[in-house]
Amino acid sequence: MTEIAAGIVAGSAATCDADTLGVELAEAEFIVAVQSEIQRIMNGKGLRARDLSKRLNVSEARVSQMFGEQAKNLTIRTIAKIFYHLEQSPVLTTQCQLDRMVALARGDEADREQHWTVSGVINDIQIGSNIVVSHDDPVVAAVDRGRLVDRWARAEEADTRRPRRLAAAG
Amino acid sequence: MGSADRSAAEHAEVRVEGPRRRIAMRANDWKRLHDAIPVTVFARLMGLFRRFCDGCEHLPEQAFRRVADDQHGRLEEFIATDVQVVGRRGTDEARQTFFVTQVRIVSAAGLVLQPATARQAMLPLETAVQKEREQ
Repeated sequence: MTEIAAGIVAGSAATCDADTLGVELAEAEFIVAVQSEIQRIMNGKGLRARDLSKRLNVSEARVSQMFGEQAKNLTIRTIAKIFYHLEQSPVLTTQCQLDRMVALARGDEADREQHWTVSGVINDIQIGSNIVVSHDDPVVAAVDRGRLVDRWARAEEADTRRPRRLAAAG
Repeated sequence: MGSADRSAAEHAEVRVEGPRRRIAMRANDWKRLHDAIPVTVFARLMGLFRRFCDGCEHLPEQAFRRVADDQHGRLEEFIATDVQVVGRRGTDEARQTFFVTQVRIVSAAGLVLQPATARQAMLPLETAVQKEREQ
């Protein structure tokens, strides 16, 4: 390592540009995420590196390298192979998509602006307590939600032949 | 030394924060991680820190483990190439804090440096040739 100023080494985080640092961080975080996910499954099944090496038919040292800083040999194909031998199916998604799915499942504040169009004849649909059905008539909107949509959607169908309303998460 | 006697650089501050945990470190140690190690190693440590702060309990052993020679068994360390970030977890908070107590960096330059003082006194220079001459 070469020092370029007092205590600052060439090639350190302090000397590289933001883009380089961003790429390095993204790579490292992804590698750690994959490694820790594999480790989590192995811990759950009570497996050690030796067991995984037998299942993959590679040396223990090679498995150890996969969990190391450089993540040598941890290619996409190898990851798929590891998950297969651990009897798991990996799912790749983005943080944005994951946040949306979690918010949707929980009915979080984050999805307050999310709108769905409910159309067609709906029979006995159960609306979660986090869903607020918007309606012009405030009396209707205040009625219990589970059965409301059923009656409302049917009424729309009979009236206009064009059932179409918005429901918003609250 | 009490906390009031410490300079600002010696106070541990939160450097990485996640939904479950935080990592607190002194400014000097934080600066050394930025200045004194390659960016790839720094990125690895940051990746480990962030995953840890997200609440991950399954970091690979190669990267995070208990310190072997710790008498009390409370110290843990993050490990990357030539770097060890040693610390312990605080236990009395809703969001756990990992207090870094020591950052060990093995400098490549440090390996070839000679010790400041000789480890033993110079030995008398007596060779077989000298003995032959004396005879």
